[in-house]
Amino acid sequence: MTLSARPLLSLILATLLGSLAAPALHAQGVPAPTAWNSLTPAQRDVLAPLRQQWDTLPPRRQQRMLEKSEQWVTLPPQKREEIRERIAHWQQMTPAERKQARENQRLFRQLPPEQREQLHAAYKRFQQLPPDRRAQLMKQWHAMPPAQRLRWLHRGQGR
Amino acid sequence: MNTPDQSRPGTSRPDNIPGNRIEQRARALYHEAARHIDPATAGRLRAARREALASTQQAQRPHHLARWLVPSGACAAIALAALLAWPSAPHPVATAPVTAATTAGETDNTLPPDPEQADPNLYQNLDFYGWLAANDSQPSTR
Repeated sequence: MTLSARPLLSLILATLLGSLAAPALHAQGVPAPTAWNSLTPAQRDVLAPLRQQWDTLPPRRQQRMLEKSEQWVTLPPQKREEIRERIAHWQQMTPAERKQARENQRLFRQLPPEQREQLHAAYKRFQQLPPDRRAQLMKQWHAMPPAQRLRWLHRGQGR
Repeated sequence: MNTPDQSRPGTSRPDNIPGNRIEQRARALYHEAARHIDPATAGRLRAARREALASTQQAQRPHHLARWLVPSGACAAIALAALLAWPSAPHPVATAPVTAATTAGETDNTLPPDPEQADPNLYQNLDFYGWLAANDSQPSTR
């Protein structure tokens, strides 16, 4: 065997050994899928909006949701119902709306604490208003120029 | 009388041992005879020597293969372990204390951002609620 052939042989052997061992080793890090029926009743309750797509979700994502649901199931029933409704609402949103919501979440986190409190308070007050009053406010809002709509949030960011 | 070990070629012994004297005498005879070999015979002997060496090298090939197989396998195993360990390093993030900032990207849009803290509707219409909050704090503008 010539000297020039030796590195080539090493490379081929390394590739062969690697290709044989990789699937076996990789399989060790992948969790097994979790069947919907194997969830506890409390987990099924809080994750109910995801029931239809649960079995199609990647095992890792299932695992992360189960980890989160372990915290949620310890909350009072009213709070669990609130989370379930929020998950259901999220499922109804389009990808563009979800993307916008995530961007707004980042913006929200950059606001000063008192401004975040004001936003939460405004949201709660709006939910308690009668439907006609809500519609009136929404109409007033849409009538405003876009730059004026964002003025309050950007004022908070610039502090 | 020589022991079997003393008569073995290559074993170092003093010159006055009888076995060594025989060896020296044999070598001298060989060199004397080699000087009188004709060129044709010498050529045949050289060719025979080359063939013998070549056959020895062929016999050693499987040994060379085995000698390279072990380090190659070791290198492959180390490289593979490094490759597999590298992407698994961030895994503790998934098992770390759950915070809204880290979990938002992990759920790949299946779950809303921090559903324990806020309704997605708040984030969806953040500018609207910002305007409402501003009006609430300044009733005269309403």
